Amino acid sequence: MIKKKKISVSPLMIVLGVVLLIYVISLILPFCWALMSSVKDRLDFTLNPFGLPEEWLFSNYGDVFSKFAVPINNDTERIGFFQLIGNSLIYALGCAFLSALTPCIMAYAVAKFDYKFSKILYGVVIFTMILPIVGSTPSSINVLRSIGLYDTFWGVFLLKTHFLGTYFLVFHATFKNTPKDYSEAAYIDGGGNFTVLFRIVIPMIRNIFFTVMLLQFVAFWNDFNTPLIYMPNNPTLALGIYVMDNLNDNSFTIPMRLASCMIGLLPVLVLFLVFHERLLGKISMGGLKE
Amino acid sequence: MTETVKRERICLKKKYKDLIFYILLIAIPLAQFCIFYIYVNFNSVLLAFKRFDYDTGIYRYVGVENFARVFRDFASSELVSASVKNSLIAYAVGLLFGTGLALLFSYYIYKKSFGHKFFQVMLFLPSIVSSVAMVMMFKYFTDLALPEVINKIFPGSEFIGFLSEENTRFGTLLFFCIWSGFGSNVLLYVGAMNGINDSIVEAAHLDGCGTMREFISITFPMIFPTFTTLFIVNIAGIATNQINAYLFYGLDVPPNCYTLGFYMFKDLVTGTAGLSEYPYLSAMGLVMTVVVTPIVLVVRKLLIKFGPSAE
Repeated sequence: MIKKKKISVSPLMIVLGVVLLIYVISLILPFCWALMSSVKDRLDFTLNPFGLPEEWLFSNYGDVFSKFAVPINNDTERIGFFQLIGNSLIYALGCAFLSALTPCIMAYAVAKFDYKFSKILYGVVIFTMILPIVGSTPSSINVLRSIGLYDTFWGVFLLKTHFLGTYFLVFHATFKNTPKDYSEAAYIDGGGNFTVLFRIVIPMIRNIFFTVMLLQFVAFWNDFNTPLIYMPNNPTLALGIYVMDNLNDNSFTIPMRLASCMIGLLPVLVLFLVFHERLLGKISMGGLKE
Repeated sequence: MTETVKRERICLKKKYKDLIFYILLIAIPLAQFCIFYIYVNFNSVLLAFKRFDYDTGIYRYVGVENFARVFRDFASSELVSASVKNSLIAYAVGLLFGTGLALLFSYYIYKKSFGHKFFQVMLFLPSIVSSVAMVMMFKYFTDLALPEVINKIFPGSEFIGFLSEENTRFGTLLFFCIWSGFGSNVLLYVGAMNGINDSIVEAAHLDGCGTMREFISITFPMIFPTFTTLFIVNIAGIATNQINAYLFYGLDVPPNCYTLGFYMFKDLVTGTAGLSEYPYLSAMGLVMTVVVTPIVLVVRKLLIKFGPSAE
């Protein structure tokens, strides 16, 4: 105990503590500044970028909903804020569910059935993680175009329904470490493979599945790259905020842009506040941490 | 005898059922893998030997024309040279400062020093915030708010902003990448450090081992496999890292901020106008893969062979 105390006040820890404190301040400062600037009017923002707002214009947040109009289809149509939120929900929920379910199902098959092909599949996952393939995006776009799914949600869902990557390893380790007693009892009672999977195994690993889905939801909610490349005419909120920030539309002021940014952050920050312990500690390559 | 046959039949039936179940489970993901990994990459190789014909709207084989252009650009294009140089600088700076600080911060959290829980949450926060939002806040803060302060402190400096000044642009992009990129690395390193056996650490303390010595001689060697994995992933990132250039500048990225990642990305966002560039990009991607893959494999082997041992 005494030793531990000695360690926590060592010069290295003091220096690191100070550096971390400066880092945290550097994170909070732009956020607070953006929050404060989001309720200023244009002139106040230009003349007084650091001071408190002369008038607290909360109407900027209302203006985001009414003025947000992201051009699509070569500027022949525009879509508003609510539709962007809808697109984001469809995209993030759909992709999060599929990209959690696919590695989960595949990992279950590989972990449970000791076929040679299972070993090959495990090797494929490791191999694809090591092999750095660069520049296959044009080819993916062409494949989606050729099957008529480019610029659609279905195309992106199909693209994300893959089992490769870290989460396969997480699920694989989880299934390997899950006690087999319940499954075996179910088999003895006459249960089939599907009954065991859906009534016993999935409920047992629901926590880890939910955590993976949550992590994926946050990643897809924030993702602007995939919608930009694969479904430019179905923009999500993240892409919409980016497009609006880069339009030469003077009526959509910088404070309004920052307000749209704050609204976009809200769902993720709420999720993080509610589930931060789960997001920060419940997942490991070795499976589930209890 | 009949009982044995019956059992064998049941066993066979179970094996048959298991096999069907197995096939049903893996069928869709495997089909997806065949199309969107194997076929896409195979098609990417073929695309590298083609050219888009605007008259017919199809791609035609043109031999190694695209590869010739890639090598020509590597040899003579200033933009490609700048991209290569910047990508290597971004990697080195990321490794030195990003990975170095991530390791030290992780150590601070692992040792449960003052405020470790708060710092862990704060370090992870940028990872869950949209990069679009992070960039927007950072961009306006550094280019609209900070110049005001700097110009007040240094009258007559006429500083216009870190992202607008030619000399500070690239450095600012690198700073942003490191500043906003600790989250997942710290999470993985802390996870690995928490797996270190307490008895080893306690024994070292009894031998009078200090904090720095503990980090160098125990903690780092014990988490070296995690470090190796992230190190290798980062090498592959040399060819793909855009250092958020598109988010900061759109398609008008200043030449001194180009990276290989952005160079290959820019034509993908221009819609049908980029169709003619796809074969060239595929050829460049192929060249990158051929260059980076052996480096990754050799570095991996070297790190495993000569890296610090947990023994």
